[in-house]
Amino acid sequence: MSSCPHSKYIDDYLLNRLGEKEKMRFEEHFFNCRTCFEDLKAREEVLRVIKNRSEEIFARDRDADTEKAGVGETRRALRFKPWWAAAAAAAAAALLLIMYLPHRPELPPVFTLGEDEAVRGESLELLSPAGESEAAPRAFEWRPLSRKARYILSLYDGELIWSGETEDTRLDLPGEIRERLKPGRIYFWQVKAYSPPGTLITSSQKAEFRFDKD
Amino acid sequence: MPDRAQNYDAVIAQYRPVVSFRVRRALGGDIPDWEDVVNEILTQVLEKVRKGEFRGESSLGTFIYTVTSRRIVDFIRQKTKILKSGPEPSVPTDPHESLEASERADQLVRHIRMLKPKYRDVLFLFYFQELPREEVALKLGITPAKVSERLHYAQKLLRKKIKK
Repeated sequence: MSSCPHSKYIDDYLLNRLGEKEKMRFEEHFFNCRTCFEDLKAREEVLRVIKNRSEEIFARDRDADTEKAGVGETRRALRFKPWWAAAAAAAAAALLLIMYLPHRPELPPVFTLGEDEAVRGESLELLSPAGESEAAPRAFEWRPLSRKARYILSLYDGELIWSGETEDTRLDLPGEIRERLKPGRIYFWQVKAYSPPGTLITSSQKAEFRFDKD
Repeated sequence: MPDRAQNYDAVIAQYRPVVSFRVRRALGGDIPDWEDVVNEILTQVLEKVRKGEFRGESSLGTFIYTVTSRRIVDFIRQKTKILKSGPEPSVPTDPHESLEASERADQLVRHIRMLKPKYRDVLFLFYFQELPREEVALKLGITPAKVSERLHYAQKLLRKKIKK
């Protein structure tokens, strides 16, 4: 493993947690540091396998644990002969199902292969602003997901300049931030969606925009 | 001079893996143009070096990184208005993945499943659920430093197994 002090940035880089400037600094670093680059490649490979084959790696463990618990239960149940015992067991199972379904644990996100890339869960489509416009944007809008989510928006111009949070699918850009935006400059924005408990559900691609004058 | 040019060829060629990594991460590994972009970048670097545009004020790695970043931005601007700055939040997948890479992935799956639960748990929470270290620590009832230690050890183990 790397003994380079920059190796501490590898995971944050792979998980897209670095700010733009930090990211660029780290990228420049691994162009110059073979040790970090080898470490980065190795971890990226592990991350890719974990992301793309999570069902194989983790779900079977949970199924195996459930199975072990279930086998014992089944053997004991088969000893009951009277018909009313079977009916009572079925009724109890139905009742448990009705009680359990609303509270079932959150499923892990599903990974699907889109046309261009692997995306996590549903795709999060950004609506506006995008491309060229005549004036600085007043708000950001995106399509809602099919499930309740908390959205965090990040605005960049090479580095993070503003971040906002909402459960809606529109976020107004504060006036003081809008005033600081410069005509002709390229800005990027991105939205990440989180479940109520705080797990990342999906993340949009980054969209860019530029405006001529205010 | 010819010897110097040949030397540069060989030296710059060594940067192909890191340039490829950067380009694939930025554009997505399944965009068919990515290899062409890498070739263009390396050709451009070689031309600039031969013309004397690389004066040694920065390291060669930094010079190549700068050329790479500019070419990626140009490519994205040419192709699309919506920036694809790498598959977010995941990792590029390549439909032309070599058989070797596919076998390595199968091996990794097996080896990860064979890890002790305490290592699998940190991999699941940190890499799959993308929880911050502090939250992983809270869920497992250990310190963040312990989380880092287990991640580091799990990675080291997996690298060792794959090398075999």
